[in-house]
Amino acid sequence: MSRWNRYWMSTLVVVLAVAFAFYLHTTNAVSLKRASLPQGAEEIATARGLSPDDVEAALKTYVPSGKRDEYIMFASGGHSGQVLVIGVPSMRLLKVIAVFTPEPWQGYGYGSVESKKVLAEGNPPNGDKLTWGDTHHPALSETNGEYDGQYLFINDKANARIAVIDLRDFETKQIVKTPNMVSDHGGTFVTPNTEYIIEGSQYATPIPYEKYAPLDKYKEVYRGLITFHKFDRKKGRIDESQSFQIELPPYWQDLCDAGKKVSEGWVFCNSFNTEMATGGLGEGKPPFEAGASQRDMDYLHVINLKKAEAVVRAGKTRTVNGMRIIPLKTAISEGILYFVPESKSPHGVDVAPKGDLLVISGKLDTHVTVFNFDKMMNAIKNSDFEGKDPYGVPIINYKSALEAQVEIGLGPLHTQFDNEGNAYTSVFIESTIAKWKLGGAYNSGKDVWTLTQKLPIQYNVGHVSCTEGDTVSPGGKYCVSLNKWAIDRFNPVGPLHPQNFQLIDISGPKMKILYDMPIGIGEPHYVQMIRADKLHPWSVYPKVGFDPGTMLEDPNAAMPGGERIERKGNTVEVWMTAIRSHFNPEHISVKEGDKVMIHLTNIERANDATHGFAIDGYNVSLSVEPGESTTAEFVADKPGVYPFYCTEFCSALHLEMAGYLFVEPKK
Amino acid sequence: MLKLFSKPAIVLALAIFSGTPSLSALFTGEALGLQAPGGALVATADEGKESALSWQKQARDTRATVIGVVKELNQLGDQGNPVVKNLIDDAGMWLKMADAEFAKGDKLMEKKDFRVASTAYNMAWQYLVKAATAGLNAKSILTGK
Repeated sequence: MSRWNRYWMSTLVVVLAVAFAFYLHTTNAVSLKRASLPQGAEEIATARGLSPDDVEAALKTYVPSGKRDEYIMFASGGHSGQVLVIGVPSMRLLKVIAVFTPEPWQGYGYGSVESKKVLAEGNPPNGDKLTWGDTHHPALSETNGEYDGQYLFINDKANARIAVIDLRDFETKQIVKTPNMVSDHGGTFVTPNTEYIIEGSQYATPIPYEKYAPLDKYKEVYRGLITFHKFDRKKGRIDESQSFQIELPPYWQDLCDAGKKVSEGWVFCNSFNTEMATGGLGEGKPPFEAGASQRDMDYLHVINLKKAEAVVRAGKTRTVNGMRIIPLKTAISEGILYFVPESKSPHGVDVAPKGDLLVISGKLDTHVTVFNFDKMMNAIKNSDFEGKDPYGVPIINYKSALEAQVEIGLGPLHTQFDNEGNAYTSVFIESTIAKWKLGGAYNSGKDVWTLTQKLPIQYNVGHVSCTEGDTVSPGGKYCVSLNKWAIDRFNPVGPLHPQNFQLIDISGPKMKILYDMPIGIGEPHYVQMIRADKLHPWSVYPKVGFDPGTMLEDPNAAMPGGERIERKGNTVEVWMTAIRSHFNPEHISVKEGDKVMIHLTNIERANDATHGFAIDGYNVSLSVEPGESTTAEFVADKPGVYPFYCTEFCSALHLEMAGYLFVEPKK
Repeated sequence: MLKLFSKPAIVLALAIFSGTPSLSALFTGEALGLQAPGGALVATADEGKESALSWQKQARDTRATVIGVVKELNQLGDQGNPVVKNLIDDAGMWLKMADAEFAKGDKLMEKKDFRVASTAYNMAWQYLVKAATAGLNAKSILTGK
């Protein structure tokens, strides 16, 4: 070895030795730091009146500054019409995604052409402009029964609509007003590869609902519907031309779930008014709540989706308002629709991870009922029916389909699963979460199909949701109790109380409540929790001049050097760029009555360098993220001088990021 | 017919209110008299009467439970907690509404209008469940359980 090589080799060894020593030192220092908590920790706990359990809960939920959550929870925003994005276990609200309701911070519905188009597509054909939605059940897109983190779907119960959210930028791309239905509840749910998004109607109406019929025609004319919206994954949009509906009896269908694994190709929906009660309190008739709960059993709808698809392909449908409907008689004769009796006024049908079991909760019952899918299929194959309903739907023999019943408590509603063969059922009246052990392929031994723990929650839980708990491979670790009543859990904020999400640790043998999160925006109903590493959202748009509406480059994007104003007749078109800290151009002059189009591009590339754009007095509010191009359109119908400004604090000279719109009056 | 909130359920509810730790012994299908019927939807006249009597019993049984809850809450008192006081007031309101439906149901039974009597007893039971819910929430706030 030459002298120089020996020199460099020696130097390298010394450098490596120093580096290794430094590594050991810092690791040691960190280890020493971790070995003992700060001396004041116990004093803090005592001063704050925290019990050891409280401290443990705090340690399990605290996510240090700058660190990330392990799971992301997508929650319906209820009456807000939006979707909430929450980190778990910190329970930090990360975002509110604008969906059915215009939202100015996100520039949704306040002048931007793209968002106005999305919102307008969701309006009914009668010309109504809807400005809110009652979101209930979000559904993440799935591949092979697992959340794939690509899309999120959400329903609007108040108007029977479905929205599609692209999880590359967490923005709503499409709202579909479902034809023929005006209320839904059994939505949204997806088939295991998101071929379809399922939406079941709730309150029976004539088909279509716009057709009037008095209540004394209820049995003859009123119907339920289930819609299978076809999802085109390449386009990321619902393709209504490939969607279809199935006509159902007027039994007030409720929640649904798609079969998975062994039950893939089948869909299951509860119903809770097989009595066909029509209310009339005030006219001396029994109210719905009594009339719809008279019988001990309602009907679980068992739907053969594969056969339904074949029937649609064969053209055995009728078309109403552009939607193909399989008539009820056809659904019966083609072997698409069956019923199984289920405990009265049921609320949840939840398919277990292997797809082999269906868990039904009757909200006025004290136990959950578990059906076996194979037994159900054998019953159908062998025509093992108890009879038919008044419309001729075959009723599968209850005992033949039954696997087990588990005593839960007063008012079970919904069930989810963990990765150890346990089920978790929400119990509304008792205000508990009941943990019980599945049998069959999940567990063996004497204690299967038994309750193992009931955890009091505060108060009156609706849905319970566990991490990936409705997929083929639940994650375990956490559940969230979505409580309807908070009562005294939080500082008082007036008579309208927030809802209460309670995070529950299910990692040990006993469930423990870790945290209460108030939701003061609407009633969330349902959530889904996905591992954060399955989501891959963009931090900036891929290119400068990108249109989030089309998810492609915007041909109208303003680019640096291309800023200009052009007049064509009574239309003034502006190509404007935004960068810290100015708009270009800063002056826009138009005449009263001109149609004004502003193509605005944020030409920055830095994360979080968002610019807002509002025109005082003109109700325009845009949000332009790095790389984004958007277009605002409005009529300059008010003469005068109207400043515009950046609404998103972007820089030290943010206040100087402004301009003027001059509207010259008509002479 | 599936019997809900029958005698074992009363025991269950009392167990809840008395803080009995182990409830699992109560949770047997046999103890609760649960069966698994299927059944046609069309009610005959006999089934109408049977339904009315069944709802009448169920509502009476549940009322007995709720009265027990009310007594316990009266002993605990609202402890100056206005939230609890509101819940107790609500429970009292639901109980009154339930009793009004009971009276209606009893009159209808005398007239042999079993179908409407059935719904009246059903409504009485619905109100009693709400009273029980309010009572359970009040107890939960007072005792933390």
